[in-house]
Amino acid sequence: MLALGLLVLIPILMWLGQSVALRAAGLPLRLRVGTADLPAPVRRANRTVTKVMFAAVLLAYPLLRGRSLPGYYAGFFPWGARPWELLHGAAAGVLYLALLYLAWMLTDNVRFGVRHDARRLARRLVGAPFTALFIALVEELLFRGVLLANLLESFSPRVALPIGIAAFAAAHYVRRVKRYWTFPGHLALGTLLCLAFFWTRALWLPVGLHAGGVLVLMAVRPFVRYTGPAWLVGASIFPYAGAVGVAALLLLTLNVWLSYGGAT
Amino acid sequence: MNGRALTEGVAVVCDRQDHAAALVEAYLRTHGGTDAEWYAPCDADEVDKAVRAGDVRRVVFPTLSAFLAALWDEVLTVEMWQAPGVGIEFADSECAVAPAQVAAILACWQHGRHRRRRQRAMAGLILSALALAAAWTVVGLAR
Repeated sequence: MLALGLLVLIPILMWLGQSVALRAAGLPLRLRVGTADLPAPVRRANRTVTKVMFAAVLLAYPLLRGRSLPGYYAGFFPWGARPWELLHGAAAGVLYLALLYLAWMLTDNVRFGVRHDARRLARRLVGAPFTALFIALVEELLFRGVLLANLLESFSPRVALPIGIAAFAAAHYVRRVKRYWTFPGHLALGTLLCLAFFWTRALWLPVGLHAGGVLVLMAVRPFVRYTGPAWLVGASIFPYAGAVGVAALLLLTLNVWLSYGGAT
Repeated sequence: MNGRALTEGVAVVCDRQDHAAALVEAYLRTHGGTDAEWYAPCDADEVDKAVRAGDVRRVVFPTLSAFLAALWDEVLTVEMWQAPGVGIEFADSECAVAPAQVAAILACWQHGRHRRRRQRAMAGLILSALALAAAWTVVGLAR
């Protein structure tokens, strides 16, 4: 429960941070964190507070448990043949999304075209693998390495897994967002990642799956425009939130179960 | 959208370097809107956003074909462009397209688009199922 308590602190401190920044800018307080119409300095302050809070939880949790940082996190990255799970997961994520985009492009449900100038495009594409790996690593350490691992110590898997999945999905809606219908997609994604961790008791596979997906989303985003219905193809960076995307995540979960779960 | 376009409510969909730009500028001088915001045809989706937000009430295209190109490209939210008070104008006087004809084009396009979207969604669903089957098999075999 310690991890859950620490994670609940994050949105509270995010709101406090935003309130301080709003006051400093002479603006009234707001109930929700991170609206699009906030002034740039307040948005910057929000981003900084979020990053600091993520880092603080990742650093504080093992120490509060009386463990050293390397000692705690290294346990989730066993050596031997296990690092291959990272590549397997990444390849699986890339393959699923790439084939779906291909299917949607062939049926004119998404359209490809260059949407940025060459310099901006090059910057985005070069940075995509590093950003994808960083995002995946931080989120997996936080939601699987800290939260789910702690929940599994306190509760049975039947209780711990749904809480871990729901917390991961809900975390994407702490800030005000454009779309809320993407929530089932986040639940399906949380299910895949939580079960991948539960079945392997390591972070190689969840990080690989997560990073592979983020990589495709980031690489495709500057080129793609959605023309098909959102229920089919999702929208923006949420192709996994449409009906096909949710089905893909469930199928990938089945893949993972057959390879790493109860079927082996 | 900048403040100028907000106050004027006029948008031009034409590249300033295009030979049709002079035609559009002449049209704006005679019909009002010399402070209009200019958008390149590839940024027609930005005009659409402005129309949807209610910031633009008049959109000037150099020719009918420029308007139709944006329409075929499906970057315009036709329902909003059909709304009363949104004017679509053509700088080329030889176009001679009446507002009623533009409305008829939009209505016809709208009807066809619904049909095409259904067909595309169905094709997308079928091809997605095949893609998922392929991905599932390959990932399963790869372990």
